Amino acid sequence: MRRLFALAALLALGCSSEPAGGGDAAPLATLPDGADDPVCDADLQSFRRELWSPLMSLRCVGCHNAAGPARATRLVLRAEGQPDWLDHNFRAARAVAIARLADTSLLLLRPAGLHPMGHTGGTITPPGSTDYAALSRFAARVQTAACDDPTTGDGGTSPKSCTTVTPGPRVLRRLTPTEYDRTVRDLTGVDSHHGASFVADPVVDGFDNDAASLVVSPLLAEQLRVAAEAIATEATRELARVSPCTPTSPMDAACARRMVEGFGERAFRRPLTSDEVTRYLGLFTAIATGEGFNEGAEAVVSAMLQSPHFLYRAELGVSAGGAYRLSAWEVASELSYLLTGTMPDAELFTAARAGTLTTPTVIEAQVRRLLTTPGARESLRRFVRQWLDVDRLATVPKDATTFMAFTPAVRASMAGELDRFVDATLLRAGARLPDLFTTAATFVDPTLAGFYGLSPDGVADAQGYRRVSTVEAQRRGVLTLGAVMATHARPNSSSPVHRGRLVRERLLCQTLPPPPPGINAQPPTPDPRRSLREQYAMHASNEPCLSCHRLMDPIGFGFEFFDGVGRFRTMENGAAIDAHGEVVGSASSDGATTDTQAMIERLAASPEVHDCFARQLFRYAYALSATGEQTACALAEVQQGFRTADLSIEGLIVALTRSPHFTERAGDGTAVATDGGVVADAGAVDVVVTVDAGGGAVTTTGVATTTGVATTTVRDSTWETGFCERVQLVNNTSAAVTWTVVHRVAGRINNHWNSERTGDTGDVVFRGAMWNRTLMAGEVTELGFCASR
Amino acid sequence: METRIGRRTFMYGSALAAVAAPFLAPFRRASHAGSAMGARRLVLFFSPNGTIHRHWRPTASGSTWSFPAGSVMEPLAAVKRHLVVLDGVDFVGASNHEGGMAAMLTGSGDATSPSGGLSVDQYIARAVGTSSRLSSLELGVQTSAWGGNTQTRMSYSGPGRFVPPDDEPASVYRRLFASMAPVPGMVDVIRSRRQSVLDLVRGDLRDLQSRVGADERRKLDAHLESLRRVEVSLAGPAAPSATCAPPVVTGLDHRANGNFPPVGRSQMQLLLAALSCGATKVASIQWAHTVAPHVFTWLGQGEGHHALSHMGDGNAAGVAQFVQAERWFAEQFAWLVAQMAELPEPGAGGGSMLDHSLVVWAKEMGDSRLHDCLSVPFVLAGGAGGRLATDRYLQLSHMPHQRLLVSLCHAMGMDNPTFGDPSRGAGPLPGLLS
Repeated sequence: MRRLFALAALLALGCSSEPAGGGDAAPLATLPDGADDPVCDADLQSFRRELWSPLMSLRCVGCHNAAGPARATRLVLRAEGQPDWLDHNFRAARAVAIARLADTSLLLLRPAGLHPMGHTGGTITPPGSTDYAALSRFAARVQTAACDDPTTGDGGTSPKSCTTVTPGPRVLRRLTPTEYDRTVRDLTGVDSHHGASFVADPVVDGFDNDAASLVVSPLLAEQLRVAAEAIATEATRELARVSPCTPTSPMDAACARRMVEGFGERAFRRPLTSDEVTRYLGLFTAIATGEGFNEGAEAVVSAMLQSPHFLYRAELGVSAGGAYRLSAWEVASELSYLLTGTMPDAELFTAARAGTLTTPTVIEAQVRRLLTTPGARESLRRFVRQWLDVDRLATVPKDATTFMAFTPAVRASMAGELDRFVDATLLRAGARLPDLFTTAATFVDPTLAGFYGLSPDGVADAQGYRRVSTVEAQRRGVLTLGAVMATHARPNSSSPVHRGRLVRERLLCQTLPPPPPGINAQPPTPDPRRSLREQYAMHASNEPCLSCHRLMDPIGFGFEFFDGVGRFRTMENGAAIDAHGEVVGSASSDGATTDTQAMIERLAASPEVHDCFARQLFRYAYALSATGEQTACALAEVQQGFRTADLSIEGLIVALTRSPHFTERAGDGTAVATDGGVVADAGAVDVVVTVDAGGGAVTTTGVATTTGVATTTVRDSTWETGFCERVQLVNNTSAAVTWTVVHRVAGRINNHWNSERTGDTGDVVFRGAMWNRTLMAGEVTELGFCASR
Repeated sequence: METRIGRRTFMYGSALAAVAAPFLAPFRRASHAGSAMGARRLVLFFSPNGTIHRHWRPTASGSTWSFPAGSVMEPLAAVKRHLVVLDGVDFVGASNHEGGMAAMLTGSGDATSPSGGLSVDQYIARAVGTSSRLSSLELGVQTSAWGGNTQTRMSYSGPGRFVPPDDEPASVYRRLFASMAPVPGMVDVIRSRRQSVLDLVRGDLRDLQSRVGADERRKLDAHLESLRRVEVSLAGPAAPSATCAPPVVTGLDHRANGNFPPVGRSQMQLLLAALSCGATKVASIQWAHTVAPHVFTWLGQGEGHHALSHMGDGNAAGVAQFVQAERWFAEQFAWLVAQMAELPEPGAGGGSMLDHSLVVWAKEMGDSRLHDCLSVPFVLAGGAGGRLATDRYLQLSHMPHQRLLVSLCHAMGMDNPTFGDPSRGAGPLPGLLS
């Protein structure tokens, strides 16, 4: 049965397009903003039966209501009987279920206590509990395709209509290792490969740039330090790389200032504040005094390369009526990293400085300009490699006996083939998405020509690649390139499962669950007497396997003209290749196909594939895995823009940059005012807590109040000549408290954080920093310092 | 002084509770801490994709036991006297590759568990590792081709927060030994400059913190914590000595499937050197990851390890290849144990390094064909400073692995009553430690 409304389909908890029960019409509830967004009755009743009655009505709504302690969280529920309570609660639960952290639904993480931020109400639904299982089912339904009903994939999450497009949250986006290397090259001229050896980051939805997941682990911090020092040393060997002036003396203050301001603006992708200039000049002076100008400059460069202002792209904006407007500098970085994968070029800097990067017209002109630069190639190539999951081509294990010819050189050449194919199909003027799937040509170097058995003519590029029109009707488009076919195969054979899954997950945006426990997941051993199709027949005859494998295998069979390393073939084990395939379980693209070409044409024409492609580029551009619901309408608008632009790639990118998210951010309710504003603290009680830091952890309750603030001191590192401690504070009162802590320091503090202090040794008085000065009832904070002794 | 922290108190309240959580590990040491009793260091060794019990189990008759010819653990025969083989330890409530990988070292703990969702290595490192240059050292062998995710990571510094392993021997070498022979007189200058740079970066981080919301503040908190670790490690490596010598590391492509054995050997050598030089007390080596597709080409195999792990008994050749691959991992573990038995204890007290260490071979699943986490195979090695009587085959029945994790903590001198999900069981494994 086809779904009438994509969103309803996503939520099909046994939902049919006819009202359940046959009698009453399904209530067509409305979104808070009034959007026409039907939720069918069966979904609501299932939610009520599975989640609301046994769990949420008993254990959640007590805090998670508009007046309760959890009123500021994502989940605000209504008690039974309040207006639209069921529909409202269903939507609220769904929004939390769709939001994810590290690929897991917040609805599973939070009440199970698995979320890094904990759950204030304690562990309600530990993994293994029946409640957890019910939440898992709900989250799986709203997040991924259930195998019984594949049309519920997120390929169809677009709301039917959106009246309001909400931008995503304010974020800090740490540079990916690739962005790091390219930025360093543009910034310093040093040919950096440091990023390439940084520890691998989390991959979310196939992309390695997820804003919420990219942090600086201890290992990465050390790698960043080593890299920054090496780069700074090399860059300052020729001072002109980092300094606009030549110093006239070792302590040339004027030149030092120009260097800090000039290099700093390029490193931070915005002008430095006067405080920052002072601090970096302070570092310069401290080093240059003993060691000279170059050494001072080197320290400044090293520090800037380790600064969060370099390592994170800020998309924070400035407060503007409850929302935030991104600065021209921030927009310049968005444009440059999206389109070129590196820091803004000179023209973007000029535009940012002039403050002109605020109107859609100016931004669109920059998009068109940047798409013609070499950087755009890098960025789109990288997108395609991650989207089609072929980044691991170089290492995907292969059986050297079965595929003797698949040498490292062939793998490398295939990577080059894919890059050139992307350039030719996506960056060509007027390029449309279907070109990527149907173009009957490719690019081979001599290695690959021999491997594929192709005879290119035409002119070779600098690396020896020549364009070749593909003669076989089956070799069409990106999916049949060696990189894709070889990566999505088994070590010793092709794999309809892997290829079918690629299409399902990356082209149709439907996530498939892993095999259920307790069933035999044995793959067939290559059997020279039988075709692969026969060997996979077990999936079709075995019920637990069938429900998912029918979604994968029949699509994968359509690619059987390509062996496990991407070579075209017409025979396998003495029999002619049978590449009949079928797409099932899609909203509008179901049907049988006779061969690879037919399968590809079916996919290339599929509206779901088009929407999914827009979704994938949206993910890559914005990297917002955790905010699915908040930006659902923004996505829908981008998808609509892509369709309106007749599937033009440039049209899609322009649509992405025209989205409100590109220039604005939603207020998150937790941001601290940047103008020095402090939360009102009427009724606050000053509490002085004296702590003996003599050793180990000490808990003391405040002396000046009946309730008070409790502190705990933890020494988390200590070495011969110093130590670091942190003091954790919890407000155990029922009122807001502005706190002061007197802490005995057996040494001299050389830096501290999350606090302001008076004194640096002995009894040091700490007060809160702007953002943690006032603790609400039950709130926790922490200050810390490192001291030498 | 010893103080109990009201953990639950910290879990309630603001978002910053999450930051606090990891530091609530028991810094308390049991009475034998620092005495001759107890292990001085913990080494974790992971290999993926479960096992086939029929080919793994030792044979036992009374107190005598042995590894059957041709079995997975036969290569461990030479170091059998140093081992305790554990049978019958379950990951209760966990199943499948990903579930097993997530539960293996965390005991399914979360932010409200006493262990705060940390993995046991990180939990122990917070208690015993703070006086070391590296509070813990995570080494990997081709763990990262799929990026970081629940399948490819096993160590956690908090719920959902991975501690990624270093897959590149050259990078590990640099971190451990790079400044081992510095220019005389330059050490202090360089260290002081690095300290100044760090201080400045910290100031920038704090500036930024004041401008962001709760989620991003948490990100910057993690960054600050990482800088503190860097700061501690700036103290620099120990000077070379009789018990501390850097190994030779060659520049192999550490990502190439065929280099899996030499890269793994390099990492084990670096691990041993880090222990010998006192750089850390908690080290792990993670071989690949669950669902690892590696082809053991060096054994003449052509099928991926994960695929082999699922071969049914009807496919005798496939099962034989899986057993062969598992035997290879056993050889690596045997090598590591034998090396530690050869190396002198770098600290006081004499004996071998192994005598004062606890080494654990962990897996993430039980029967790979069933995708379950029942009777997950564990092998312990080392004297644990007198706490572990070895040369034993301990046959347990449906023992929650949280209790094994408690035992590891206790062997390291801690006294936490539970680890991970406390509802699964309290106290150490019966009969394991003395």
